[in-house]
Amino acid sequence: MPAERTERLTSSQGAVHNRLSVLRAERDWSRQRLADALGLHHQTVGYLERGDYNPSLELALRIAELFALPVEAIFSLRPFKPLSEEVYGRTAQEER
Amino acid sequence: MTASQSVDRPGGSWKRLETRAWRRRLIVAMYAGYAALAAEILVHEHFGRPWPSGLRLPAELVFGLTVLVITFSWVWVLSAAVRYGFGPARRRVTTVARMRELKAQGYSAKEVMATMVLPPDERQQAVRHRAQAIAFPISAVIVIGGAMYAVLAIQVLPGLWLPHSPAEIWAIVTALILMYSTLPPAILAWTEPDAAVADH
Repeated sequence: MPAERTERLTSSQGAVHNRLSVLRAERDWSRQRLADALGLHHQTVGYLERGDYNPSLELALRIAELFALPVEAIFSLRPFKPLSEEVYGRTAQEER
Repeated sequence: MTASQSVDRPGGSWKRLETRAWRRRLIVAMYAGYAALAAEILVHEHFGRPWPSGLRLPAELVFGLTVLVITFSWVWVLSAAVRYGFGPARRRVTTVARMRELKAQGYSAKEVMATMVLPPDERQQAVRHRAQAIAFPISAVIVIGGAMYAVLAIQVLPGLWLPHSPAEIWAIVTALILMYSTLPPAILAWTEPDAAVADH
């Protein structure tokens, strides 16, 4: 699409999608608790979850370590599918 | 925006000042207040002292109100700046409620006190650097423009206005202090999106 091509050419920092809010909700953690675990301000966690701030590589690796997941399971350059669709969709495909 | 989470609006009248709309209003109030103050000084200097009797009370009221607006917004901008490490590169983050929460979680008083002052995190450092990068060329243009005007007024066009009275000189000095102390934090406060509320 022309708009996407223009954005890719003009933007120095592309959008990084993340699953932080889902992972945090699964564990029933508050933003403050996640912020404390990562040494961040709780508002920074909010900005990360909303995609208003892209983490440094170091922070992304620390987040992955904290959740015991690979980085690509938390961050992606493309929008994530809903977890339910990803898990059950794949199972249904495999069953077929 | 990449995530679907919406922005929570902070409640409470003081918390409302943290929203971008209010931050922008306070910044406009601060600079407009200063412009009004400078205009008042120039008018006062033009008419000479004392004020005409009918104008004295309203002028003093407006002057007092303007000083109050500038002082409040200036202190507010500076306190926000300290949180982002503009001051001594440290920030105060712990609220009384948070300290009580940590105490309830079994942390010792010493450990709770240690959380009161922390260095800015990587996002806060990044937005601080961005604000400074924007503020630098703006302040350079203002200072160089002012210096060139002064040279022009002294050497080339002697009819141009130059500050003579102590009040006029102080107005310019105050403008420089205001600019250097508030420009980067004002840019930061103007551009920062609304923060999400902590969900303890």
